[in-house]
Formats: sequence, structure tokens, C-alpha cells
Amino acid sequence: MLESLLTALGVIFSPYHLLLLFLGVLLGILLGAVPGLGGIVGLTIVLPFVFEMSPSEAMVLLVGLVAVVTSSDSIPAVLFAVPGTAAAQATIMDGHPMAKKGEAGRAFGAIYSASMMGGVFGALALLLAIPIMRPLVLSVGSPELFMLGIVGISMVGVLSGRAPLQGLIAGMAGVLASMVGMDPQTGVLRWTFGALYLWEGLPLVPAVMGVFGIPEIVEMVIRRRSIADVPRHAIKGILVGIGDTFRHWFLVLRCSVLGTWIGLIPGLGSDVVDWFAYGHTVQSSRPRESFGKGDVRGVIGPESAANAKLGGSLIPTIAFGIPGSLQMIILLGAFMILGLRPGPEMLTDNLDVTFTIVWSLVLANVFGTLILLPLTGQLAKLALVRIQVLAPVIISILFLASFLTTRDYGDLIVLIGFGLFAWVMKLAGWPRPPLVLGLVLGPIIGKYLFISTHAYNGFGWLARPGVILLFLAMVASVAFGLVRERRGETAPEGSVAGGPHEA
Amino acid sequence: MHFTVVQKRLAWAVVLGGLLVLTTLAGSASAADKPFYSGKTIRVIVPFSPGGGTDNYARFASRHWVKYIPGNPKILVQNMPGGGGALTFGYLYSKASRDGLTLGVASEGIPVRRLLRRPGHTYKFTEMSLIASAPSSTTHFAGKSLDIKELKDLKKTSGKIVAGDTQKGSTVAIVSGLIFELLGLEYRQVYGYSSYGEARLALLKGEVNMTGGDAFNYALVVKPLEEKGEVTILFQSGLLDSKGNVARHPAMPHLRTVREGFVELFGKEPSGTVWEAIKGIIAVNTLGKSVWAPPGVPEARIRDLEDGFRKMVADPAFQADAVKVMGGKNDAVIGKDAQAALKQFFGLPEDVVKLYR
Amino acid sequence: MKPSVGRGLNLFMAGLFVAAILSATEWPVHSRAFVMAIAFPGLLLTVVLFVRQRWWPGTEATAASPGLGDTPLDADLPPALARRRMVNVFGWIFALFGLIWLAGFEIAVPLFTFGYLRFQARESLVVSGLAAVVMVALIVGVFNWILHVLWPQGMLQGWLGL
Repeated sequence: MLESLLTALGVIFSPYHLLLLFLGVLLGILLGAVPGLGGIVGLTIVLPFVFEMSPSEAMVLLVGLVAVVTSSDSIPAVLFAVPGTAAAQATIMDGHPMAKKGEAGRAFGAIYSASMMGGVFGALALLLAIPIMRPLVLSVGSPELFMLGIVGISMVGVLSGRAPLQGLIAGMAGVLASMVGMDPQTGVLRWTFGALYLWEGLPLVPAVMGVFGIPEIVEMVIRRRSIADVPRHAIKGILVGIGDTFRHWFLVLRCSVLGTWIGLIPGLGSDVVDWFAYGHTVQSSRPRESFGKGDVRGVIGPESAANAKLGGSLIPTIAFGIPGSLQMIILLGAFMILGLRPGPEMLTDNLDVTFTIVWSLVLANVFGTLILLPLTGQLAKLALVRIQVLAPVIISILFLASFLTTRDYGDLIVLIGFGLFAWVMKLAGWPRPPLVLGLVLGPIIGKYLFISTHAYNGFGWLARPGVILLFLAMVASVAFGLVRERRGETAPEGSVAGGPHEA
Repeated sequence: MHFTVVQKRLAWAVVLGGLLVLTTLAGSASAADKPFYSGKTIRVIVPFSPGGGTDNYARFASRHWVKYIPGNPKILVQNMPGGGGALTFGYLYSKASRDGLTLGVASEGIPVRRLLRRPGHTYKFTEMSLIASAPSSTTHFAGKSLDIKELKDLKKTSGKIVAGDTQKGSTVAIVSGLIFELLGLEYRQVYGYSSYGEARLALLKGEVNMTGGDAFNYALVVKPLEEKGEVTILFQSGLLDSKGNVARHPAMPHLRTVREGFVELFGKEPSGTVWEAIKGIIAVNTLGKSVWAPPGVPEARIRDLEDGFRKMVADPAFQADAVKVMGGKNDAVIGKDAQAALKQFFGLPEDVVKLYR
Repeated sequence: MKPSVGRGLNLFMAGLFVAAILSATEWPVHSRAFVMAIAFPGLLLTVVLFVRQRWWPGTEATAASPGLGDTPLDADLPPALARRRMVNVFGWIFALFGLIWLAGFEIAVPLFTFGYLRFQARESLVVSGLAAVVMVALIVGVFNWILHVLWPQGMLQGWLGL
């Protein structure tokens, strides 16, 4: 095993492989940074070339590409509150307020260093998980997935700030909205109003762009200032952000574990990972009041989880040939083209390819960060440009990116519809994140609740150890959070190391 | 900043120039004596998101197909998901250009939804041209917990069967339900898995004990599971040969068909409306992934496309790649022959059709 | 902004839940159950919120959540001005949508960019023109050449028979 590990390392350090990896990383960065594009688009672009490549060449290109998409997708999220991909939703929560405070550079520093650590951690996890892949993946059934959805919903509490009632209502509206489309269980068309477009449900990306992107740009235009609403000397740089990440290394570690674990469960997407990590970050941090107002921890958590997820989601793809996401489905297609058979052979005959993947993950994350750090130091200056100049570009990008989702006018209507609705919510002081959380988790809860009750014929599955364990974990984390908050109120504010108040 | 008149004119020139370049690029095409498809780009529309079986097939086949179409055009595979295929076929039927440069690929499920007149499925297959199709066949396999060592053990599983499916109305779900009916087995179907890959994982977890797949993932994913003793593959639905008999799919020559399984278990040929309904789905499976052109495309261009497809499947190089990528040989039914299978399907009597609902 | 916005939104939400419940009554139980399980508690919560807003306005949370914690708009802007600008920017957004519907993305997006910069942001012709060209380049370069996006045809081109 060690031998293959070193052989793979030797392979990947050949000039040609490094060049391919570099190209993959560059393309991934570009596609991640442009909202609406992402890993899937990238994979379909390079797939025709893969036909002519050897397995190791193809792997460095493909893995290099998808590994960095979740790093660069935070660029528009921080600057414009427009997520580059679905995996950057939660990054908006604190990343964008940071940009408003003139800390875009600091946010990027924190994001890229956290992404890199998360990505490397995910690769390590993939390496360590190789012998125990099977039980890891098979232990999580539909009942556990349902319970995970409930754990996610319990985060509405921390995402609602001081308006929990409004947050709950918004969350429920989100869940209802997620039910639009054909019910797979009965074939009933729920609220499709005769539009074929709605059969597949409301698309997430335009909805999220509407909920976060539109109100932010509208507000900025109304205020007529630049994104960073501060004097120039208050601008914080990248190095501060990197320091933040190292200071919060334990948070990075926890969220990386979370990301890897959710990644290896087929059935939960990267949109879910993002919110779970953010929810966990808020729940486990003290003081909490600064979240949503530009707390650097709020970007470190989700970003390390988003990059750690890839390593995790490669596990079921490699070990079972069961892809956990659309991206993995396409990657699996590439496996097939290369004549690689997912399954135990990937751990015996093709072990060197598996290790090539691991090394590619590590190197791609390092390359990505090294490229992005100097680059976005410059991009951060966009936050100082007069908003009226940026506005038409941002609005156009919102439209273009939404349209790319299914390439239908419906995408634009979803964007504007959710945008208007979210604007009213913003005016009324209602929290918007629960709406998106409901939209993301609604299908998961509905689907796995139905599957569980049918596959296990009743509700006996509620007594499964995994379900009980998750339930207890949820109760514990909520209770723990409440207790800490109580205590936090009496504790002196400045006593928390690395708290955002020093800013 | 202040700008001179010259600079302003320059700016206008840049804007106009940009627009001009755009329109020229859009309109550039040269006609000569060359074959129609020379230098052209064919758009092949897939009615689902990237990554599924139909999308995989379209991308795989089109890569080879271009080599055999006179003029060697380019092919672009694009996705237009919506309404379970209704959006794409509605577009092909009434909106797409009729110049033979826009084609669509149907999965097995789309003719079923058309037959059942699901909302939005109002296009008419009869007016469109079926260029070629790659036959498929569903596979049906059981998990370890059912403990099926040989086929006759299946009879003992009545009442214990929990089948995992994607959604009510999917081809695999319809046909596996009908097979249980035919064999007189009590069963329960669990819908909601997002793909048959996920259903297969649920099978490994023991959440369900029966599920299915198709000819395109059989050799690559399902067969290896059997070799490890994780699943017992029971049968394939099969496809119709040129005489209209149920035959084995060329990619799965060693797997018995449902008909053979029935004969093995009961010692007689299957019959009745349930069997007719299964045969209906088999006809659709024979059609498999089918390539369609909008109505009114010039006959000569359809011929070019058909001939190209015929030459492609005859080429050993293509078949070798098919074995490597799709896991098995890839036969094709071309043009009129393919239409015949479809005609049979749409001619099913109402008492058979209602079994699909 | 004003408490009335919050009340209106709450009323709207209540209406949404009621509509969901009413439209779901006809569905088979499996499709209905989950809708009811969400919509009934949702409706109940809107009632609770209404009661709280109506009779205990003091307890009502004012501003937001983690997540883009906002300072209320009228904190530093005269409400009339804020409202005018709001109508204006939404006007531009709808204008872009209409323009796309009329003339298609390839023309609408550069035109919108140019128009906004020139007439709303009062930028110079050069800057506006350059931005429009950049948008054209983006659409042609990235979306048309690399991604082969199929833009829907604008209505205008349809009417003109292009």
C-alpha cells in the first residue's frame, strides 16, 4: 500500500501530469467564480478529451478541476452575495457582511486557507477510509438520512437570530416550496400550474440567487455607495484572514470531519453540507451575536466543509460505483470511459489510480489556494468601486447565471419571484436563511420519511441506533448552545480568544 | 474625465463593431456542392439532466456517429430537462428547426408517458422521424436477505418482497410490478430513490431487497455485485427480435428473460393481460434510447443520418468501445424497423394500458 | 421598514399556507400528508405571530437574523428617497427581463448594461460602451463558444421573421 502511495506520488509529479493538474485547477477556478457555472459544466467540457487519456492523466485533470470549484465560488458570494455554486450559499452569510465592512481581503484569506485545509483533510480522510469504506457507507440508511434532515431543520433556530417565529414560518414556506413538482411517490403534480418547467421542482440556484443576490444589490443601489462602506484605511488584508483560520484550527477540523462525513453519504448534496457547517459553526461558537454581521468564523466553517466534502463523496463513488451527486455521476461516467470499474478493484488492482486521486486532491487544493490568494487580493478592490458601475454587471450576471440552470425563462421568473419575496422579507426584518434551508432540506426530509415508513413498514425505524444517536446529538447540541449562550451573557465579552470584537 | 468627440465616436465604433462581429459569427455558413452536413453542427437534445443513462448514451454514441455521417458534422449534446421529456419533445415537435440539425433522444419512459397521455405529452411520434434506436432491457435482481439461490426459491419470497424504485411510472417500476403480478407474488414497492444507483445502495444496506437496472449498467455495475454474492440477478425483461419474439439483450446473453423464467417456474408459456402488458414494455425497451428528428426534415438528410448509424453499429471499433464504455455490444434498430416496434406499443388495448397506471 | 410590512408579509404567508392546504385536499394521502404536516403548523405560527404583533408589539423582533444583518433602510435615508430608488432599481430589473423576452439575451444584456451605465449611473460613453462590449465578449466567448448555450429567441426576432 505504501509503495503504491509513493508510486502515485511519483506519477503525479511528472511534468505532464502537473501541467494537466494545473490546467484543471485554472479551469475549475474560472468556472467556480462565474455564478451559474461549476464543476458539472467543467466536467462536461473536458470529458471529450478524457477519451484520449490514460487513467492517471484523466484523474489529475478531472479531480483538479472539481477540487477548486468550491474555493473560487466564494468570490462572487463574498463580493456580491451571489453564490458561485450551490456550495457557497452559507459563505454569503458572513462573507458578504465582511466585504461590506471592508474585510473582503480578510474573508478571502480565511476562505482559501480554510478551503485548502479542508480539502487536504478530505483527501486524508479518503486515504484512511479506504479499508473501512463499506461499513461507513452502508451504516447510513434512509431513516438516518431523514434524521439528518431534521437535525438540519433544527438549525432554523440559530439561523433566525432574534426573530425565531418568523424564521420558523419562513422555513416552513421553504419546505412547501420544495414540494413543487412531481411527487415521485404518487406521480401527483404538486403546484405545477400546467407548466412543464415546474415538474422537476423549483430550481435551487435561481431561488438562492433571488433570496440573497437580489435584495443585496437592491439595497446597495438604494444606498448608492460602494460595497465596502468604510474608509480605505479600515481595509483588512489577506494575511489577517489566514491568521484567523489558523487561530480557529479546531473549527476547521470539526467542519472538515462534518464535510467529509456528509460527503460520503450518497443523498445529501453540497448545498446541504454548506448549511450544516454554518449551523454547526454558529451553534458551537460564542459569542454568537456577531454572526451574520461579518464574523470570520462564519466563512471558515462552511468553506472547510465544502472542500472536505469532495474527498468524502469520492468514497461511495470509488467503492460502490454509487455516485452521491451529479458531479460524481459524471465523474463515474469518466471512470467507465477509462475502463476503470468502481468497486473493490479500485483498492486492489487499481490502487495506484485511487492514490493518484488522493494526491491530486491534495495538490489541487494547494495549487488553487496559491493561485487564488494573490488573485483575489486584487478582486477584493472591486468592493471599493462605485456600486452604480457594478450594478448592471451584477444584475446581468444574476440573470445569465440563473438562466444556465435549466436554460428556460422559468429560471428568470424564479429568480425575480424569490427576489421580490426576499426583498419584502428583508424590509420586514424576517430572516431569509431559513427559507433557503427549508428549500434545501424539504425534499430530503420528505423523501426519506416516505422511504423509511414504506421500506420498514411503519415507524419501527425510529428505534434504530443511528436514528436515536442523531436525535440525541441534535438535542445535546441545541441544549449545549442554549446553556453556553446563557453563560455567555454573563461572561465578559473580550474573554473569547479570536472573537470578532477586536476588529 | 472628459472625452473628445473623436474618442466618443471611437467608443461607438467599438460597440457597433462588437455587435457586427456577433451577427457575422451567428450567420456564417457557406453552401457548396459538399454534403449537407459538411461543416455543420447537429444539436442532439437530451430531455434529462447530464449524468443519467440517456445522457451517457447520447454522449457516447454521438462521439462515434459523426464519423459515419457524410460530411462529418460536429455533434453537440445539450440537455433540456422538464416534464419527464415533454419539454424536449414538445420543442422538437413544434418549435425546432426542420433542417435536420436538431435531433432529440428519448428514453424508454417517454413513449410510456405519451401512451398514458401524461400532462404535457401532446407531441405526435407518428409525425416525427425515428432515425435509430439502441435497444435496452430492464434487469431485476434481489438482495442477500431474500436468500434466493435458484430461481424456484423466488416462490417462497411472496409477501417478503420490498422493491426499491425511483418513482411510480418509471419503466423499471412498471415492469417489475407486472412481473411480480405475473408470477403471483405479493410485493411492496418503495418509491422515492433519486436513481436506481441509490436504490441499489439501499439494496446493499438491506433497506429494500429487490430492485432493477438496465442493459447499460448490467456488466459494469450489477454483474460484479453478483460475483461477490451481494445480489442474485433474476432475469431481464428482454427485447423483441425481428420476428416479434422475446429474446435476450445482446449485452446480457447469459441472463434469462422473464418469459424463460416463467417457463422454468411454471412449465408453460405466460399469457393473459399482465403478460401482454409486460410485452408492451418489452416493445418499448426494444426501442430503448431512440434518436428522433422533428417532423418535416428532408428525406435525404434522414437517410444520411440513418445510414451513418447503421455503419456505426456495423463497425467493430465502435462495438469494442461500446463494450468498454457501455459494458456490452450496442445493437441498433434503424428507421422503419424501429417505427414498427413503436406502432405495436401504441396499438395496445385499453385493458392492457390501464395496468401501467 | 414599518411594522405594517411585517404584518402584510405574515398575512401573505398565512394565505400561502391556507392555499396549500386547500389545494392539497384532493391529492392521494401520500402526497397530502407531508403538505399538511408543514402547512398546518405553519398556519398556526402565523396566527401566533399575528396575535403577538397585534397585542404585544413590544415583543416583536425588529431586525434580522444572522445572515446579512441589515440596518433598516430609513435609518440614514429619507423614506421617500429610498422608496423612489427602490422602485427605480426594480424597474431596471424588470426592464432587463422584458428586454430579454423581447430581444433575447445576446442583445438585451449588453443593451441593459450600456443603458444602465449611461443613463442611470451617468458614466461616460466610453466606459458604458466598453462594459457593453465586455458583456458581448462574455456571452459570445464563454456562453456561445465554450458552453454552446441555446439562447431562446426574442419575440422581436420572431415578429420580424429573423
